Amino acid sequence: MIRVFSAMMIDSLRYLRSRFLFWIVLAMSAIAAAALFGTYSFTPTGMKILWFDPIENPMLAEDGVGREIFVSYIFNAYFLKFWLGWGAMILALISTASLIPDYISDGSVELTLSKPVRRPVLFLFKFISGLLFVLLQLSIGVGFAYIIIGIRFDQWMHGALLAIPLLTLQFVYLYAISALIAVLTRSTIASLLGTILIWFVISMVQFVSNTTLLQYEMQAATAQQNQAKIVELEAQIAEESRDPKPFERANLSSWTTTMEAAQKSADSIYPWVKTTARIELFVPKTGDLQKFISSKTKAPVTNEFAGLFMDFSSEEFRPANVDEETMRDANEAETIARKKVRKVGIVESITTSMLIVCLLLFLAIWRFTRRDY
Amino acid sequence: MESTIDIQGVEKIYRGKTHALRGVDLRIAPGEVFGLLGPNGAGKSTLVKILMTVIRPTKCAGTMLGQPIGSKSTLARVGYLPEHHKFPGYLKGAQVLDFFGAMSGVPRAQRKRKAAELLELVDMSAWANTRIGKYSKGMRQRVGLAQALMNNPQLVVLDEPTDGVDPVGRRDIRNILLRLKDEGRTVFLNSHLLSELEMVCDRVAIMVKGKVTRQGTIDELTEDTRRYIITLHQPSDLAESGRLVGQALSIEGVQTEDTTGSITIPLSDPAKIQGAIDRLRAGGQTIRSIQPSRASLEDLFMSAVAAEGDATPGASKPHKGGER
Ligand SMILES: Nc1ncnc2c1ncn2[C@@H]1O[C@H](COP(=O)(O)OP(=O)(O)O)[C@@H](O)[C@H]1O
Ligand SMILES: [Mg+2]
Repeated sequence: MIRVFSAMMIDSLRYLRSRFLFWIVLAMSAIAAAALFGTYSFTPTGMKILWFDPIENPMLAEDGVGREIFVSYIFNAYFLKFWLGWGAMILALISTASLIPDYISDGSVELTLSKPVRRPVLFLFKFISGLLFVLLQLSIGVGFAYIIIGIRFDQWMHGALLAIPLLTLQFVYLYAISALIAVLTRSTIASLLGTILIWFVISMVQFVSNTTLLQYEMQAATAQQNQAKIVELEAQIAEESRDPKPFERANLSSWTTTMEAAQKSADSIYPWVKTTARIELFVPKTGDLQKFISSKTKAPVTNEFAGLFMDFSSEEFRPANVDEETMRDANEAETIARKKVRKVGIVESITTSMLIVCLLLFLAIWRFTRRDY
Repeated sequence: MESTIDIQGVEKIYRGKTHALRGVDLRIAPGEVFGLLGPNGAGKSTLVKILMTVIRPTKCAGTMLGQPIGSKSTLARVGYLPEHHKFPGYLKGAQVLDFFGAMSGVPRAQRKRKAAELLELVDMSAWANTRIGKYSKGMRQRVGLAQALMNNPQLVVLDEPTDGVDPVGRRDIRNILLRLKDEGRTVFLNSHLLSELEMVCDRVAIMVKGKVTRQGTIDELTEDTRRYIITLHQPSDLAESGRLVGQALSIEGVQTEDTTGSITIPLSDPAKIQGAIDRLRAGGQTIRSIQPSRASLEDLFMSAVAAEGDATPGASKPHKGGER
């Protein structure tokens, strides 16, 4: 069995090596890493991009608080999500889409079906061998970025290495779909297009569920924020055992209004949160894996990152009728909400996703073992 | 001795309702070269694929190497060359042998040695490190044959092994088959080309439209087609002479052939033929030659195909991929 396994893996490596795309993706990973982490540096007063004049920004200075945040954001949002999670993932699907259809094509499949190896084993090994592509690409790509970041900025993001197994897992979710369509249709094009289409649908489901949850969390955070302010002020007044001053009274009533409105809004969104979460239970949750990596690499959420460059509560960004405090509160509520959304029950997410993957693989194996070739 | 292959009543109805096999019985003894002969679409490949577990029979009873048909572990002792096989183009000749050897369970240490030996056998050593994608059809066939021998099989099953191979290659393959036989292996060969089988096979079966119509040694099969052909020198009234010969021997079925001036007598006993000679000579004919003869495998094949006629339309409609 080990003999068969290693033979099939080696065969697969030879297959990949013979594919032009394999090398393209590898080169692109290297270029992406070099571009994202090699083109700028931090100076004592700010940041310097290529040969352009340095940007003065104490937060991004060598010893600024925002420096690590900056790098980790670039890593997560661009390198992981954009390139590895989408770009490289699609290229990996393209490169491996033909693996199973080629294998089960006329004249080729007979050669191994006639060997003393059971069909489910043949299929599973073939499936696993299809994962080698991403595993290699991710190991090299992520490893390269990890090292560049470590050496250039002395920032060793160990959490980033999680991307290797987790994005491979994301590929497992997608490749299971590809494998099933491949066995059913024996067509590379059908399995590739079908997989991308289903991936799109899955992403939509996750996007809707995410957005709904974010809205809910934002309202909840606003409600909580105002409640906290009310509690604090009331406590202060009680401690000083006095009546609230008129402006305090006005504040209290305004906070209460905001709190109640936010709470009401949160309550009305809540059923949708439940519904979308329930729907999400039935799809492989590709996005959760990236969220998990983001939180493990302590990546900032979008507005935290933007906060490095601008102050939202400054007059520049704030509409005329909104005061500074409201603006700051809103920004804070959003940050809290975004962080909450990013917190996923990873074990549950992977378990439910893998159940679906197992079902897909089971169907594929069932078809493969019963088919006449 | 126990048969290497012993199957009874094998049937296969493909989805799409092609009744490809209609109850096939075969028995192949250890150490023999057995040829399965039949026109395209007869069901030869279907039968072989059932033996190799590539397709599932609708009905099948019997054994191969003592194990029930469909048992996977038996296949470790069988070598198989499929029809129209496609090896991955990115593999080199030696890698193909190594890969399929591993799939058959041959340990790594043996594989290297065996691969070199077999490439030598099929005269492909010079191409060991060239990608299969660059091979000609005949070269692929040679490597395919080598691949089938990687696991030192007791039984070698070859589906149209000389398909696309030039005459020199055909002769080489025939020699390899004879060598396999000398080594005591059983060979089950499958072809729509007659001449090949005649030269190497100990026994043949003729399959037409999903049924084995005849089975035996070539001698056995052609036994009752023995006859004598008497050729006359400048015969006068050949047809009449033929009739007279039939009368003299009191048999039916004497045939005459005007263009060659010959009379065919369906008898195998030389003693009886003397009467025909006497009769012809008495009639003033000059005999140029007397030849004992029997039907060739080809005649037999043709008559088997003709006998089946078009009784079962559909059984031979071509399927995707087609036959070459
Ligand atoms: N996979 C298949 N699906 C449906 N019909 C098939 C399949 N393979 C073969 N057939 C049909 O079965 C019959 C026998 O084919 P085959 O065994 O390939 O014949 P042979 O090898 O003797 O030329 C043909 O009519 C062919 O069309
Ligand atoms: Mg055939």
